[in-house]
Amino acid sequence: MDKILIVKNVVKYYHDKVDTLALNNVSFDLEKGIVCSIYGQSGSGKTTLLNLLGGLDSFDSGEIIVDNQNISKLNDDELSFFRNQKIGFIFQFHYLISEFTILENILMPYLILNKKTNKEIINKAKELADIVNIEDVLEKYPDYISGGERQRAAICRALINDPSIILADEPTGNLDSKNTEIVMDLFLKINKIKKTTFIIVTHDEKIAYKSQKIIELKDGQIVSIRENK
Amino acid sequence: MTNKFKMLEFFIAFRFLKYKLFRSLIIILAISIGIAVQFFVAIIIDSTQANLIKRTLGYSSHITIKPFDNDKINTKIKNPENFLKNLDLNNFKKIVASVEGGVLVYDFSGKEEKSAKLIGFNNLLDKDLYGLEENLIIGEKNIKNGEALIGYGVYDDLKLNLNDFISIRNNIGDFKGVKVIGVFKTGNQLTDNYILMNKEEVQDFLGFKRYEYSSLLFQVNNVFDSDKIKRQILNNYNYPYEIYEWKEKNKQLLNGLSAQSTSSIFIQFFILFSISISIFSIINMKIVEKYKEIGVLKALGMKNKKITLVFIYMSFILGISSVILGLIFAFLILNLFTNLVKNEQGLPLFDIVIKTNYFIATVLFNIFSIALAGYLSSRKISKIEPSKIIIGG
Repeated sequence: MDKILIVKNVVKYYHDKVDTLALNNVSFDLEKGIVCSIYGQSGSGKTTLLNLLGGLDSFDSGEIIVDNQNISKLNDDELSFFRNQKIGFIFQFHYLISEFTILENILMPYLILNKKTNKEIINKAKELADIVNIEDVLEKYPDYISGGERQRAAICRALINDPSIILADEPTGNLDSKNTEIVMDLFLKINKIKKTTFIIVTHDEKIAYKSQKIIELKDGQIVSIRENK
Repeated sequence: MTNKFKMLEFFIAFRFLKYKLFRSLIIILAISIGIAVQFFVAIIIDSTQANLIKRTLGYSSHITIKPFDNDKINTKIKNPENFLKNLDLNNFKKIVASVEGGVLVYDFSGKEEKSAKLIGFNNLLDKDLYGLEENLIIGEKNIKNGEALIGYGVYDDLKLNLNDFISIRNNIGDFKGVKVIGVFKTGNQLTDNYILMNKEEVQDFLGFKRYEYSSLLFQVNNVFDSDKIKRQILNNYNYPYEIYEWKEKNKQLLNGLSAQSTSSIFIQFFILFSISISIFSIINMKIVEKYKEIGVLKALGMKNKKITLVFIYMSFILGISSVILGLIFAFLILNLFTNLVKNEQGLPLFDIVIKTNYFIATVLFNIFSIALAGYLSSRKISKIEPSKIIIGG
């Protein structure tokens, strides 16, 4: 199977008044099209690792190769392009932009690069909305829909550019159990339909066990990598 | 939906402002008041200055060529048309060859007398120096032999009426009777004590030949250039006459005008400075308010330069709206001012003068300063780290 992600001996320090080791020689790889959880308690380094995988932060040594692209060699503009094309982010908080409709929010990653819409992309957005059951709220603004609907809209936004990887940081952290179930089922459904690779950061074992691969972190180091058949 | 995203950064900026519309309108209103004050003060100062210049210099000579007081040989200016051959006439608004002399004026009864200046003139360039067309208050301005136009000072002091006869007496005691056919009022005390008659009659009465004159009077297009033009005249021709320009004889007026111009510039500068500081602070505030949105846009792949452009557009939108509204306010206030503040005749105190080029330049400079303030405050955007804002936040 193709490798979508290769992480080799990555070391990350937070350079404040004191240098703090956040990730210590982390290495792993991922096949294309799988759902992977990065599991660990608070402070284990899982969010730091996600930041690095998404090109949102830099690291001190090692290599990260995403879809055959070594992101440590990219400059700011190239990283922006990389994030736009290769990565879809789903955050714990939806971070939809209140000033735009749900449809405009979903299209935003596409608009950043293309600066115009066409029937094709709008239909694609509507299809995604349909998959996640928010087709009725596309013309509404985020403040006027429920928390679950907002998170589903964020999922659509993450998918609009057909990214190589979806990075989800505690995506169900702000949701009730019903919506948590809905969102996880959606991830698995989208993974099945579109073969999109998911990396989900979570401290919740139940969510981790829905994934095909679980990488457990503790104190900035990988303690185990398990295949979940 | 297709076209509105062509300028995505502008679209985002507009939406950011539109979302908290009331607050955006308050910001625009506040800045526009500053701009209104800036333009109002500038226009009022420019107008009072222009009116002052018009009143003191509008119907006076800016550059004068006349014989030296002590010169026994060149006591009169001969054939003044020859002087024009060496001059760049583009510098001048009006050129008049004047024959003049001090006289005593008597009313018809001979009881009331007054000193005045008798003038006959020959317009060498453009209309008359004394603005008879706009300054005539009664009667007519076409003087024939035996007729005179008198200034309001003479008319009022001698308590004359239109068509009255007056006697004028020259310095050798000769008398001449003339009929008053018109009265003019320039608002300048000096000019309003003139008596204007046919040039030939004045030349005969004061002992001048037809080609002889007392002085050559010039009005320049820009009064503040009179010293420069005087030097050009001196360079071009070796006159055996005295040449002086208005600044040499009106140092107090000049100082007053300079002070007025300087204070206008200072006031405008400081108002514009405070407006720019306000915009700088407002955009800074907006950036802080939008930290999360900025982080999200970066995470979605928007480049730093493009995000910076969003905030420059915001300051641009705020700036243009404020300038437009400020101009409207300025003109409303001006209108109110000119309608409320009037002289004893019930007319506005002065005419409003707007220097178009300067006005346009100020508007553009305002907009540029505001946009620059927006740019400077948005430079911090590149330092915002999305990882710190959105993940784990």
